[in-house]
Amino acid sequence: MKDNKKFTIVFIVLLIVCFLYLGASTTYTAYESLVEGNSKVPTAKFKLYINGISVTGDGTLSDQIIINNVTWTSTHTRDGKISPGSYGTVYLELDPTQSDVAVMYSFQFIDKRIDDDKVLTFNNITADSGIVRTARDTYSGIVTMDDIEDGEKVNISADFIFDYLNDIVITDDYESPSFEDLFEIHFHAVQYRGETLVPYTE
Amino acid sequence: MKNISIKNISYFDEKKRFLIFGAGLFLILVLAVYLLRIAYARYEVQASIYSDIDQALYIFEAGDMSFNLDPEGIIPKNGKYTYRFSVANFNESKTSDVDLLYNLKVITTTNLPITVELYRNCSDISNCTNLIQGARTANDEDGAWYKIYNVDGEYELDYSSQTTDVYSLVIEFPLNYANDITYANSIENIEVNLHSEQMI
Repeated sequence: MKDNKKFTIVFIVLLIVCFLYLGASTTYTAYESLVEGNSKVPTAKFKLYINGISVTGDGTLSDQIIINNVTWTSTHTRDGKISPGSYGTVYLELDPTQSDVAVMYSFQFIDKRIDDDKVLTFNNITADSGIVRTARDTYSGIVTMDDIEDGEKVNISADFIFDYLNDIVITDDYESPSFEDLFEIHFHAVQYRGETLVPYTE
Repeated sequence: MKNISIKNISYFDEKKRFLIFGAGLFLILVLAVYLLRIAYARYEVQASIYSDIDQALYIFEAGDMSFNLDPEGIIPKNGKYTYRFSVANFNESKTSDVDLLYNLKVITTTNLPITVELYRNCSDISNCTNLIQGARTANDEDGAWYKIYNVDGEYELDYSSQTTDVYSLVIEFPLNYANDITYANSIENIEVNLHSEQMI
């Protein structure tokens, strides 16, 4: 009986300590003073650029990037336009050289096979060595601090085709797809903390 | 002695201890999540990448395609009736960005004993070749009969220029049917079927 009481008391004390720890900053009113100082804490920068466009924000965060590093070939079509049967390549360059932390990143290629509303189909992804296919549509890699100091950039190219195996029937209410309907490449990057990339197996 | 000790714990005490234990466990979990969040905070970013590639416009315009020949619109006579329609690769504001191929088919009901001719970009039909090369009769699921006229060839509309092809559909309803009351109230429907596709 005594042991049980002791256990309960110890437990309650432990809980109170937890409460105090979590609520210490808000539970009690306290005297407070504010002293302005000139101390500077150097914060590591997390700066990434894709095709020269900042994705980590230089003022404003770019969560939607329009790239123009795309080449394509179209026959029987006005120059500069893409039509069913056109094929080409999207070039991506990830520049982490201004970052102060190692980076783990992934590119997810969302095309017609993934989302039927998309127009283009990626049929071949070519990437620098070290980039791992981690899902059916996703390629991932790690940029170490050594890579950053060596000024290494990551290059990926994705060949696409405007598939014409299934005819696009033009009806009176047909609307041309917007640029968002062509394809989407979803980019995600985090500060690298020693994780291991697991290759995708079909 | 041990048995007696256990028996002495009231139901209320046991419930209280259980509640305290549960509340403690919950708080420890909250604390763990809080601490883990601090430990694993890190930079993160995500973005969607698109390309604003211009897509080619596909424009295939057909004009004046209604040919319902009713008894008031057509009567047997020595002359021929001419109906015009056109196809083009542009509209009021835009031109097609792709080369187009198209073909035609003329389908008539078999209510009137008419003959059908078709001419392309022809101002004087006596100097042009009739595009219709034979016909076949078929019936649909409901048993209605149709005459399908084959038009030879495919025609091209290049994106490099605004092009309009004007067709003359020439119908002949011979005068010798003028006294035949069989066709007095018949209506003939003529359908011109245009099929276009992008040239690959």
